Amino acid sequence: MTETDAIVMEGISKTFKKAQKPSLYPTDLRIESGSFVTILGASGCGKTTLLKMVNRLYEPSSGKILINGQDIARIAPTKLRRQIGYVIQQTGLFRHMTIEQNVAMVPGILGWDKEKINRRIDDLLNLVGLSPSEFRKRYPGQLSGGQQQRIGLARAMAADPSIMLMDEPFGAIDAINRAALQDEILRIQKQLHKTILFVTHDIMEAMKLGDKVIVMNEGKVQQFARPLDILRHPANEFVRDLVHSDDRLQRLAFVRAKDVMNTEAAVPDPDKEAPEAPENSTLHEILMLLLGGRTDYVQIKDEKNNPVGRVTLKEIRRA
Amino acid sequence: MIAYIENNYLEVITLFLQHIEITVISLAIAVIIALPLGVLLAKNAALAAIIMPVLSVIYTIPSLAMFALLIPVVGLGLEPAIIALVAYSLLILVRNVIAGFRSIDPAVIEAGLGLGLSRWQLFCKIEWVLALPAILGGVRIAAVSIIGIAAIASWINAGGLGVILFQGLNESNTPQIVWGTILVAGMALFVNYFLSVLESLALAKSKGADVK
Repeated sequence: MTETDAIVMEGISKTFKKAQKPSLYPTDLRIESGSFVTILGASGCGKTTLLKMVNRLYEPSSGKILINGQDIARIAPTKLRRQIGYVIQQTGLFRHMTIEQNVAMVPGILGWDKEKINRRIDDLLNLVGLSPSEFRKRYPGQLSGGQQQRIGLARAMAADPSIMLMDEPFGAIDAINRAALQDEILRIQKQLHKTILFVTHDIMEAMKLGDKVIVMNEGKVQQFARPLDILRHPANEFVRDLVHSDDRLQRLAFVRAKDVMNTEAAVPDPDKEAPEAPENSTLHEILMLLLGGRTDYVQIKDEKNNPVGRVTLKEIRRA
Repeated sequence: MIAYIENNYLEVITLFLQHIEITVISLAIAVIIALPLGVLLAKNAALAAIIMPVLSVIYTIPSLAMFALLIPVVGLGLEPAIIALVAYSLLILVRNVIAGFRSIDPAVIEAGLGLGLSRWQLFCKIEWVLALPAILGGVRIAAVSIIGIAAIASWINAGGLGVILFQGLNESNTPQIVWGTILVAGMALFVNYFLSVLESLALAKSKGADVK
């Protein structure tokens, strides 16, 4: 156990009553603090079981889970859950309460004073991109699916938990809004450095969002690695079949510029006006820029807008 | 027709109030029993499978037979009437309480627990409000049934508007029979209307709307 691990699982397994075999076989995992980890697998693979043991909605049949070094079996479930954000696919918004009442639920239980709760509601609504003046007094039923899930996210973050558990949060949202929400959750995670465990069955989503991806099948972790490592070095046949795609364009959507860029050629060429892209861009996006630009490379920049490398067709071919 | 009321209005008013008394007492006792029982059975399907058939059987006993059965146990008067009326309305009420709680979207419960609400907080802040329309629907149907069956309870000296009906029948007094019928039916209609207004308010509230 190091101080940088937010969640440590030691030999946890889960067999439900009357079940023939375990939903989750004994599993060890370490989730680094501040990392975005996606859990990828088909339904019934044990990914939701794994997630729900972290906030004790399920109790493990064996093993233990530490959160920030503390054994969660020794924390009262209600107290534990108030420190962990939880977002589910169906949102589970309280339809008889206004948006502000929904968001204020946990701070209210924790006994925050009114003014602090009020400020928090405004901050959170702004964070998820919904105008407080317009949305505070509305009811969930008056919102679109995408807006409802933004509120679900705001509500889960209300008491500023350091850990967020998300169970297919964007699974019921149409493709356009889903992409927007994925970008938002990435931005929010970068901004607030939350540790996020994010369950999905969508490989594109898992690869796009995760700093690391846990690939699961039949109750076992098949591989836990960075997206690029999963692509390049699949741990077994199952993972290989999962990530193998004949569609090269689609493959490029899994790989990020920062993982393959040529860092030796970081300094921009003053004579050429090369297109620029942030280091988190996918090679799919870089390729589009290359095709549209007049130079043979794309300049990659970090968050502070410093040049950190270049991507040419050579890097893309190797990916 | 008018002559009957003019000559007997004091008695009619007394019997009318008595009928309300029987109805209110029976309904109140039934609700007090049915609410916790329904909540318990909504979360315990095994227990529900035992208790619900019992309540159903009670419900199928004809009211006259029920009153007759109670006479050797508690005698005549208000007591056996209230016992019988409570027993009848339990099925309707408990069934609706169960339906109310079971109709709640499981995702709402999961989200509530996941946020860290205790079972009690979940019940008070969330489940109760969402189940209320169905519960009020049960109260409405139970109240109307009680008003009707309470008329028959006058047969065991419980009083109420049934007295007018039975007297009218014995004496072949048509205006009296008609008045008894109008009063019982009118009371049932009014209570039904009043409770359905409450029910739709609760429904609007549970679906998310400003109920002023």
